[in-house]
Amino acid sequence: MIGHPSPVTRGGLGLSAVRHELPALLAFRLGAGERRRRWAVPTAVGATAVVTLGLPLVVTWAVGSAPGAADPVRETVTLVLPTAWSFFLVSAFVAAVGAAGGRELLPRAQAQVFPVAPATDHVGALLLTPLNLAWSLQAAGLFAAVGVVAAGSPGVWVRLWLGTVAWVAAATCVAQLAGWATELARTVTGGALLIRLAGLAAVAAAAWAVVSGRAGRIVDSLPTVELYLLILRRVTLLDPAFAATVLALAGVAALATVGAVPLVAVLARRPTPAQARLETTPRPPMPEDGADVALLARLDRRLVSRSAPLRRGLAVLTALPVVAAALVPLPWAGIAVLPALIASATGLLYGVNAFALDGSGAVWRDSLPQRPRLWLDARVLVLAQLSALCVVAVVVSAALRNGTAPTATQATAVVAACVVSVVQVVGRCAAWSVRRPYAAPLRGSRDAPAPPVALAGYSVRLATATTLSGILFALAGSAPTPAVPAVLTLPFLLSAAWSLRRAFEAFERPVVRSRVTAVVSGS
Amino acid sequence: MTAPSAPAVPAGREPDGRPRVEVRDLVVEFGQVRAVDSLDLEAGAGQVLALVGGNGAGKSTTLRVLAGVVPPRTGRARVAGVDVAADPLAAKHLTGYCPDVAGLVPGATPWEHLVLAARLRRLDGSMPSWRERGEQLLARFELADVAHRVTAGFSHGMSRRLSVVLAAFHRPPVLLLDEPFDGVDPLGVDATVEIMRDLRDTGSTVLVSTHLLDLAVAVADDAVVLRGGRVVGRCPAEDLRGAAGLRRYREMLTG
Repeated sequence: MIGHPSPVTRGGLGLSAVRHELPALLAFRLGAGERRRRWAVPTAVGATAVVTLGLPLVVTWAVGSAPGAADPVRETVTLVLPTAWSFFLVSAFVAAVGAAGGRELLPRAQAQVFPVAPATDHVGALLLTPLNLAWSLQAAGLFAAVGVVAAGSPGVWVRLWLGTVAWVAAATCVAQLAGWATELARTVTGGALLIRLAGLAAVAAAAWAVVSGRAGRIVDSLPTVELYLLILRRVTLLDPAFAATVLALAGVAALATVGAVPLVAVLARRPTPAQARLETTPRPPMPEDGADVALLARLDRRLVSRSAPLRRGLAVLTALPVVAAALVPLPWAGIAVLPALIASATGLLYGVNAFALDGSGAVWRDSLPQRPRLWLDARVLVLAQLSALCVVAVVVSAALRNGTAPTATQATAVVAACVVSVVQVVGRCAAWSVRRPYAAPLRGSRDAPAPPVALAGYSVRLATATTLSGILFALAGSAPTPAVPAVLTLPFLLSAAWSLRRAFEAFERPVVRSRVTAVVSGS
Repeated sequence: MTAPSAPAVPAGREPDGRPRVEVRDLVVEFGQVRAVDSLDLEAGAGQVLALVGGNGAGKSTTLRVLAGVVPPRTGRARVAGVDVAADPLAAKHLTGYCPDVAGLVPGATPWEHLVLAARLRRLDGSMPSWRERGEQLLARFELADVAHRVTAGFSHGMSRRLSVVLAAFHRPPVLLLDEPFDGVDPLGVDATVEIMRDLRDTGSTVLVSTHLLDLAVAVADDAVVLRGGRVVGRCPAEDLRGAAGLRRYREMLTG
């Protein structure tokens, strides 16, 4: 059935159902392992505590132990933090739109026989928000900034920390509400076009702001600046204005959470015209020229472009960082870190479970007379192309905004960071795709390439590996000679080549390949 | 005086005297589960062999081994003299496989499936008219109108029909059809039966797995009954016709 609406619990919005459904769905999504279930809640609470409390404390200690050296960083962070708060709201909204409202606790196809209450769906989407790499990294950055800005001043530290908690919660809930509203607008006639035009208008406005030199003034007049100053200026926690601000933010979060539920309920009854359009539009025949790998790669690119979640994901992944990079000038060292984040996010779109692109056709594809290597070659090639495309778009945008010519070493470091990020992501994704396949349809706008827990693990591992290499190249940009960043690429290239080789060898083995195709095809 | 004749090859046998499809002592395991247990099977050229049996009897797994998509634990499976495990690439060139699940890439169109199969099967050299053949088959299976629409939006029956087209369009010496009639409308069933007969008449071997005994009887020359991963009976398909045939079949299923 095409573009089918999902069922809604008969009892209305199902606010009371959350209590019963949420634990059951979370347990279902965690899988059958007793150990995994037992550790899930402590792990989630622990991770939250580490990011929200441990990280700012560690940063505070680090800044406090080097008071003079940290001053320039402190000055910069203090100035850009209000902008970062605003951008967090924008990117949380874009992430919600990119995920067609939010991630699902239960895939829509399964929800046909096990209806999920709208309230459960919404709360589940909120709980799964940290799985979005952009959200997690930015939230971590905001909490780390507390330690930088307020080090040495316990009163400011507590106020800023409380303000950050309230802002992250409010921004996430409001963004989620706006995400559902946008998704609902998409289901009405002309809605999709309107949203596209609004997106283009936003990009054009950002470009105009940069070109006309107004970007700085706009950034300075953002409402978050006032909010930030209010939090910093107050003397005590019991100050009425400060307390009222934090309570207001908490109230906004609560209102947005409750207010989103009716939207989810209406949305659940609507068909999904975008998916229906994708699945019923006649396609031009595929050109048949070129080598085998070129033909397979061409087909793979078509599969990516026809998958609703991948189309959206790629659009968001390219547009958002390009706009951000164009608005906020980054030093060359900062630009060297960007490829790590973008390449990781590309891998998380589908690369971590690349054979899911074939869906139920994986077994048939394996019955065709081809070297298994050819199949994986094409998949790796397309993942590398998409990843490189997104990385280059963002880096070029940031480089143009920077406005200064890089030194030879800085340029080499940025190029090396781009290459290393892409090969790191491709190498790891190939290995994971062969080792741990999942049945993931990648059809509906909210579909993900792996279950939430697995995706969280992949996010952390990819982001950690690529960010560390990004920081390394950022530092290498100030080396005395371009040879330093150039030589530093070698161990990363060798490591990625080793991962790829192991993935290819494993995929050549019939037992491994048979398991991959059986799992992704759901047979 | 007559020219010396070549040594006579028994009907339905390959030049080396072997059957077209030969399975000997085949064992397939998935973890703790033995899906196929010391199975022996053979089918000759120009023969339609039905694989029937209950759920979990090992029919689909046997076809998957012959298609080269599941490796056997022990035993041997040959198609047209080629050992599937030893030379899967050559074996895949000789077979056409319709899997029991949908078997289609959801984001690709029927025509893109055909282009991919034609390229990997090297049909441009061996069968230059594959495009014409593909168009004819799509028309015969009433899929011509949707040839350029992605298969994600197809109904179950449409998907089954396209899977049969993909398995048969290169006229393989061995056609492997797993539940090809499942959820297919009568016209689709007719088209599937017709293509099986066409290929049989041109010397192909057809193995078809189905739960629909009437259709198995109608289309197959012989039937093999599987239970618990083993062959528990083989007979002319005609012997399973009608109430008496059904009774006999039930007896074989229950042992």
